[in-house]
Amino acid sequence: MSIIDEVDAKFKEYNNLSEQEGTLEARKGLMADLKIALTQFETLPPSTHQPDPKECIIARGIYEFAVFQSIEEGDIEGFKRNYSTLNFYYNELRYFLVVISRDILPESSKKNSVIGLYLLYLLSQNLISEFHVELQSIPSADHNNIYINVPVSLEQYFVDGNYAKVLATKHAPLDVYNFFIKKFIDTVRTEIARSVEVSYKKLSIKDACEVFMLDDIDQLKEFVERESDINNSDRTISWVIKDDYLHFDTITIEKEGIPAKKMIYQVLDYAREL
Amino acid sequence: MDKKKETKDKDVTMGDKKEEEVKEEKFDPYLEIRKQLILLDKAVEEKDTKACGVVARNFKRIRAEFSLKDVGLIFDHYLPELSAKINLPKYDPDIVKFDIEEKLHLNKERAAILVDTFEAKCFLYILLIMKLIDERKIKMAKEFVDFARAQIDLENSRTLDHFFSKIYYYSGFIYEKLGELNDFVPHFLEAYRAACHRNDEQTQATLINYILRSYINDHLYTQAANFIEICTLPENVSPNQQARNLYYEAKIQAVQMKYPEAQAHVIQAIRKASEFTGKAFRVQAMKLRIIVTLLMGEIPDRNLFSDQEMKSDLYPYFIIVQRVREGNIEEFMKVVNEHEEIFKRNDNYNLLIRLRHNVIKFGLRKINASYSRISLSDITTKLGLDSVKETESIVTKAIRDKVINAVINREEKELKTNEVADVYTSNVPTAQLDKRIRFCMEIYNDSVKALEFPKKEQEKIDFNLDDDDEIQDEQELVESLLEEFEDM
Repeated sequence: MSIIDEVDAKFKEYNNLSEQEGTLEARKGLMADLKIALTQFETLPPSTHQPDPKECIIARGIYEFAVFQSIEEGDIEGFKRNYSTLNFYYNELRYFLVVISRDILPESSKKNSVIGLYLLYLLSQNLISEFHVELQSIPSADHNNIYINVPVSLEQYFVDGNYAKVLATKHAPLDVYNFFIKKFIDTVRTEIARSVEVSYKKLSIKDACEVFMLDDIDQLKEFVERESDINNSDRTISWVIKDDYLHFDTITIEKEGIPAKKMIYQVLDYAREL
Repeated sequence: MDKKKETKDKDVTMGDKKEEEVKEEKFDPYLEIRKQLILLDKAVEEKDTKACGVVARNFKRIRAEFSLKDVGLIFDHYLPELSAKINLPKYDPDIVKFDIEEKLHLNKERAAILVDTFEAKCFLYILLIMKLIDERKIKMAKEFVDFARAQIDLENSRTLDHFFSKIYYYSGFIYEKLGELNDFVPHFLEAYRAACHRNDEQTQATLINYILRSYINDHLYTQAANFIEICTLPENVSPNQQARNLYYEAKIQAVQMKYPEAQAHVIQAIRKASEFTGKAFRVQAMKLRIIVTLLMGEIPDRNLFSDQEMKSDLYPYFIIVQRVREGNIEEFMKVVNEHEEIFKRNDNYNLLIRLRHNVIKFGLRKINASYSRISLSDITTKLGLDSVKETESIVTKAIRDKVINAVINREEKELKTNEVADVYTSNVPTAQLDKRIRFCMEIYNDSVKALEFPKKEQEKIDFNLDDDDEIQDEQELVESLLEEFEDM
């Protein structure tokens, strides 16, 4: 039995397991074995050989599952690692294939769901620039694909400041998406906090709960406490709960004077340049 | 009988022509080829890379004068062996009645000596590739360019740099025409490595730009960004290559949301680009410039759109600018959808979608300037948003981003503008002034760097064609060379 068949058989076993619930532990071990087995494939990177489509398809399939599994485990670092390996098969591999074998390597059916997941990850980490770079690499025909569309519209609402709509997007196309959507909502909440504190002088407790998307006053108190704990030197606003209202008090700072030293440097700099 | 007479007649006319030439030198492309080859031969002998560059730059003039069949004739004469192998379209032998040696001003033996250097061969190869492209024989051009590349990989000399870069340039051009540019990237990367080893700056520049181009066409911005980070364009390359490189860099930065950098680079690219040719490039760069300016929250100058040549191409973008100014999101999306095809073809659609947010900003800024107090529901209708709740959170975001300076009163559901502090009491104007002074100084320094002075000892034999006098000098030189050969 060649090494490819061996890995393929193991992969099928994993596939069966993944359809049953509560098999995470078993799959963890199996995935580790599979990845080790992959190192015996001769034409995969970092090898300089012409890649063999058969090996590529199996490797790609394994890493796709690895991506989803790392979410189940809640392992974000692992997710990042698996994704970047997988990205090679999605985007770069074709540079290494001769033209003829390109037809033998069809696009993966899971591609969009994996990329959508990655987009959500970038959003949840507030990495908007990377998000857009990634988005560019998706053909515009796929933009309406549900897996891609969800993160894309989330980002738009987020940048606009349309937080109400962010919350309305609760039904994710895949269960694993919820992992990042939950994280994303936390990100959104801190963003709201930054916006609200400069926009209002005070908010009633009831309104504040609504604005921060919290259920009751206890959660709000906890949140306010957490916010007040963040000791950032350039924070100029303090949060105080008083008489059923949440007050945002501005800490007045001294007015900036004329930066004499900087001016001197600038003018001397011009003189030297000329 | 007739034939004889004809040649005789021809001799007479030729003779007449010669007399005329003395008076008002007529441009004879065949003679020009010979001149160039002689110049090239001399340049190679003296290892004068600059002169080689001048010869390589003279292609444009020659290209316009020949047809593919003419080039076939030249190949027959200069490179008979090669010409026999490739099947070029030729003049019907019955029609060709002129004496080939006379027409080309050169006999076979001398021709063989002239093309002895590899540089001269490259010169002719490139001429052929150009004409194959001009006459849309792309398949054939591809075969020939592959052949030419296989040849040049074996050679190495600084005098070849300009020709190598041309051959690679046309390789890329042909592959792109065939839609196979991305297949070719691994070869380009390999060739780039080789060019770096040889310190061949011209070829490096050509290759860097093609690799970037391929990545950008395939939307592989991560790879493109990584590539541009480690590869800097050599300094002494043509402004066209520099302009291209700047444009690609701007494009990558725009995608990465580094708008100020992108704007600086795209403006530089437009400035470096040729004013007379390459309209498509200028239009494309201008579009990017407009979008990036909008994304930075500024309105592009109106006179950008008044350029007669580009007016019609820029029209959809002009409409976009107007809609952004108005600040109504519904109207804006309508225009985007209307011209969706054009924007997608220009590969600007994704960037334009990002403008959504800026449309809201502009709208809010306008409202903020005109009303000191306004209810949130009025803002909702003015901006074309869905609900008051949405508007409220969007407004808070805008306040935080310092788009507007205002406070929301939650009980009254209204937006109240804060009093505007006088900008001249702050340090903002100083910073602006500093920015502008630095910009001027940069232009000054760049122009000083761009100036070129001839070397003293080279003044006698200067191949620089920028000046009329110098052209004269060059022609005198060629003339004297010709005399020498005739004496031999």
